[in-house]
Amino acid sequence: MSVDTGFELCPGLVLKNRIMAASGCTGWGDALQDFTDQALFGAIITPTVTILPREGNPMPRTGETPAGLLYSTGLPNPGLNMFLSEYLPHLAHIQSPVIVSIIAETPDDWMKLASDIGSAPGVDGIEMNLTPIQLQICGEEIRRLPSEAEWCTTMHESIVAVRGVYAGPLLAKIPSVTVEPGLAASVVVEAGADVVSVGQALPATAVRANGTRRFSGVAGLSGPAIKPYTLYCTWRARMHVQEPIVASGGILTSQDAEEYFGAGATAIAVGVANLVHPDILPSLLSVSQKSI
Amino acid sequence: MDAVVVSHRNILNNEYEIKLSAPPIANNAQPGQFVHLLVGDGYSPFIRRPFSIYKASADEGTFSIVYLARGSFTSGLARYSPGGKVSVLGPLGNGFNWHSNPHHRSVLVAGGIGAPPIHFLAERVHSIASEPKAVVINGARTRDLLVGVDDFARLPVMLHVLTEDGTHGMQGRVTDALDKLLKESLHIPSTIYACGPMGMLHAIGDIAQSYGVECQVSIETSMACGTGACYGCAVRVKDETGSRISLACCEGPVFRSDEYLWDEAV
Repeated sequence: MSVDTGFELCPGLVLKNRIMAASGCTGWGDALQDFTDQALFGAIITPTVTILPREGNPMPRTGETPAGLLYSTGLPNPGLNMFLSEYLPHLAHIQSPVIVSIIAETPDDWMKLASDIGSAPGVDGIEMNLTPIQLQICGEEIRRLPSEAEWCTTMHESIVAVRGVYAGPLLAKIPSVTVEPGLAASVVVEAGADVVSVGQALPATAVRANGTRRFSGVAGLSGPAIKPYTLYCTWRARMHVQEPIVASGGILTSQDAEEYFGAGATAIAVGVANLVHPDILPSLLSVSQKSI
Repeated sequence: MDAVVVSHRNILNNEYEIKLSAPPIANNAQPGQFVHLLVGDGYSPFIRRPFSIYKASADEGTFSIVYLARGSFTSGLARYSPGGKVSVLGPLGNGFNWHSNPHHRSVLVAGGIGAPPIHFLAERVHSIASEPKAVVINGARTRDLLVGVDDFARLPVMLHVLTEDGTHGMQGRVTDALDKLLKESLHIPSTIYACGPMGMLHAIGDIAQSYGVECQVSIETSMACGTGACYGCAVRVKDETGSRISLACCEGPVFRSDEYLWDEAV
């Protein structure tokens, strides 16, 4: 199969094509290997890495809703040290650029993650997961979420901190709530991000017939159910910034991909589709070639 | 891959067996492994569902699953006719570590809709073992939930059939039948294999431990991708540090009962 010859998403990051694997939907490089040639991804974004290891949220972690997946895993990951020593070398075997998703709660922790990961061989870029951690991890206090102004400040400070120690390709994945998407895109670019990532899952929950919540934490709603909203976010971000946008949210067909490019995306990331159809990538590559 | 429906039969009430043509799956399937199915052309249902393999024939290039049509997914599956196509991934997961020693004594315990992988295992154990015959205990709360009645009866195994309400076979629970069997047995079995509700599996694990018998259980848990990508099917198992998270879709769904941590939630 012929694929794109690649293009530069931002200075220092050349994708193989415009179809990337979204964070958290391809495991740590081994989950899809029996189903698809992962080297055909334009780039692979890892699950989010934290400084300390995280086992993740209690079960149940998934649920179904029409045209969507509810997903409450709580960022399970091996932590910074084990990621670097055991997981990254395995990811580096995939012949696609590797972008590492990270999250932290303080500027110092952002800097530690960005510095250690950004200087590791085999890392082609960093994506900052900028959704409030209360919306992703069970057990955190979620009674009060940050205001839009507070979170804009936090995002800005976090990116400035990372930029103090890391000069490489930097993607900023804006939250789906808390900050208006156009404003969020402006803030992250002004703070120093090279690329705006759009398409974070929407906070959601499910309630059983007996009135109890299915998930202990906040679930993320992904899939075609959120596509109209993530298209809107893409459009809003494009209205505010000229920088590259990586968009995701319910992409399962080449038509979905075309719609995102039409809304202003520079590249797209395929997420939950990989969980349902782990061999879906080749069917999307034709649109990538057309759009380059 | 798309698998073509070869046959689809209504066994009893809402119990169905669907046979699918998929040579790569049929050739490689091992008892305890599962397939991940998606039905329909739209996005509802959106997520695949796991089904343990009930039978597999490398010669025919087919495999089958048995299911109870009682939710939107399985009711949709029940509408498929021969010639229809079902999207399927598999075989997935790690199956039973069963022994091809013809003198191995095996006891297989099936509870309700947990019967399919036990049936597949019984077929394979039977295919290599002449004596002693494997013992199969198949039980359910009531006849409508008892799976594989006729197919188990066709196998040359020592079969015990029970329902808790006495609507078919002996009245009682599979755990009581297992305990009685072990108590009265002249030869303690080498391995107990079980699949069924979690409470039943936990009890069987305890019984096996009290008799010092190895026990392997196929567990059921909610699952999304089936490939290890989503981390949505976490269970807890013992390790040298105490315990760790394991993914049922990749490391399981079969675990040694003495390594599975029944009382510690993920």
